[in-house]
Amino acid sequence: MIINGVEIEDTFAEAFGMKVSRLIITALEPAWAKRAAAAVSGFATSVIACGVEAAMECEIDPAHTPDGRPGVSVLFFSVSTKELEKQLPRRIGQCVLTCPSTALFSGMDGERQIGLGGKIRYFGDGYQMSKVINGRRFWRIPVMDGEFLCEDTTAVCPAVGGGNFLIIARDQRTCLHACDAAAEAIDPIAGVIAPFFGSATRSGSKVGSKYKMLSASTNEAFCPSLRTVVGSELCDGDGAVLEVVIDGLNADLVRQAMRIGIEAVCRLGTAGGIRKITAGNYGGKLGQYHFRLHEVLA
Amino acid sequence: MSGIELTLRHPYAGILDASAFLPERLFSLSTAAIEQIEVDVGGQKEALGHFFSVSAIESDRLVIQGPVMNSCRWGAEMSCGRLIVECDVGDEVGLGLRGGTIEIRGNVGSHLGCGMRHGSITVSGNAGDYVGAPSLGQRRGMRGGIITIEGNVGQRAGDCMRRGTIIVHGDAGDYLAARMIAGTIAVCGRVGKQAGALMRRGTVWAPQLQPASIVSSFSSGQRVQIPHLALWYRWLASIDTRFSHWAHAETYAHRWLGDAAVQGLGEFLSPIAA
Repeated sequence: MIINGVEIEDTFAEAFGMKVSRLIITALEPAWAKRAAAAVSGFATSVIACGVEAAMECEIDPAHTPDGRPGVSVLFFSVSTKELEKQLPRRIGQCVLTCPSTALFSGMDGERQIGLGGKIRYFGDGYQMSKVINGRRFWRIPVMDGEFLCEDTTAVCPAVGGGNFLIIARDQRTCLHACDAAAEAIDPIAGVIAPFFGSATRSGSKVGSKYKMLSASTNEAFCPSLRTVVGSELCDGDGAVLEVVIDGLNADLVRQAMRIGIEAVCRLGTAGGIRKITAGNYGGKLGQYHFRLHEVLA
Repeated sequence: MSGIELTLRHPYAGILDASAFLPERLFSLSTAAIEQIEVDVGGQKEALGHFFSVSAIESDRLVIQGPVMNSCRWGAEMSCGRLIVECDVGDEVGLGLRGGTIEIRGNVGSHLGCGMRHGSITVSGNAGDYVGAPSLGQRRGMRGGIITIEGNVGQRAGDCMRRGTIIVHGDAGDYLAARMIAGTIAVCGRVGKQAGALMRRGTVWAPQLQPASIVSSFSSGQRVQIPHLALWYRWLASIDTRFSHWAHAETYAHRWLGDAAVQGLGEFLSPIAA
């Protein structure tokens, strides 16, 4: 398949079943809500070492937030409910509770609930209060700018993580511009995030390593500097590769985000230095979701 | 499910115990079987049919046509369905209510919603003392659900209340929220004396609150921002259009904390402009 001169390799992205929770952070001013979102989704690029993959999903108009203040939605993906249950209170306690004027709400419904405010209420040292409004319990924790309002629990739902495509370009600058185009295209889609900053990572990995203590290591087949010494996937003139990683609430959203992202990159075309689009997989043996690029773009 | 209407045939002497008049019980019986149910009136057992005519109606409700002022325990331990009483009733309406809806289109006596756990009770008139308080022999009051009273309530509304919501559109009598453990009470009218006596936790929201109404062992009022009021106002507006002007109100309030004689984390909130 060729789009605007760019070859789309006949391969697939291998993605995994994950667990997701959506939180809504509100604040007195939009900037403070975004700061809290940036803090709580920091160091959350990959479940390999961060525990969760997280990013801001979208800004929310005050008319649509629970407390009528400016807000943002943040999606958190993890490999298990247990891991989310461990990570969320820790991140909220250090990044949202600490951020002036913020309040925190669950942003999705689901049967499985994990603790939020119920876990961090003890910061109130006995002065915390709970309030049940319309069947939902909230914790009011006294802090130095007033009260931190935090919903007691949030829902956890099944999701899909690890959708991806690789951009092979003439050089690093071209590849960066392509990632910017992909990020801009994917950003408006609700229900998906690209957990790496700028949507892309340069350290695409393979499973395992020659060193026993590592579970993942560099994907040498896509390293331009090793092209002549390993079984490379790159050709002459391929100067840089970046991987766009996508997590979504379901497979359809991941598929949609991949298609829109790849189309945005292909619009730059060979004239813009884009040489090829491919995808990362592990031979199809690890992930339950296989997104074939030709089918995604059909 | 077809509904049932019970219409009083003639006045009776004594207090009628209405705890047998439950939608979930009556809807599973035939009209003839309903008429055979034994009812306690003034300590005497009589067949229900002796006092009420029974008829099927086109709805999913149990409707009572009175007058049955000398009656008690309407909807006691009710778990589902909709009970409508079209007249004044006596004490202990909704005693230990576990679900469903009770509508009283008149006034009610004391101990409304005592020990209730879930469901809702609406009273179009006034209610007596001890709304949402513990049922006799119990230490804790209502544990969930919502009670809405269009008129006034008597003394000790929310006494030992553990959870749930009471909304009073009129005035509240003395000792409002006394010994309250948790939950929320809204009083749109005036509040009587000694409010909050021995209150441990919980919230009373009262726009017309006068500081003199609150028991003296509360803290002095201070102006604070209460974030959860935004949610509270929106919820109030969603359940009753009379609260719609609160939907986007500021979340500042005068707040009194107490009762310092006990745990001291109960609060009275009187909203103010930013």
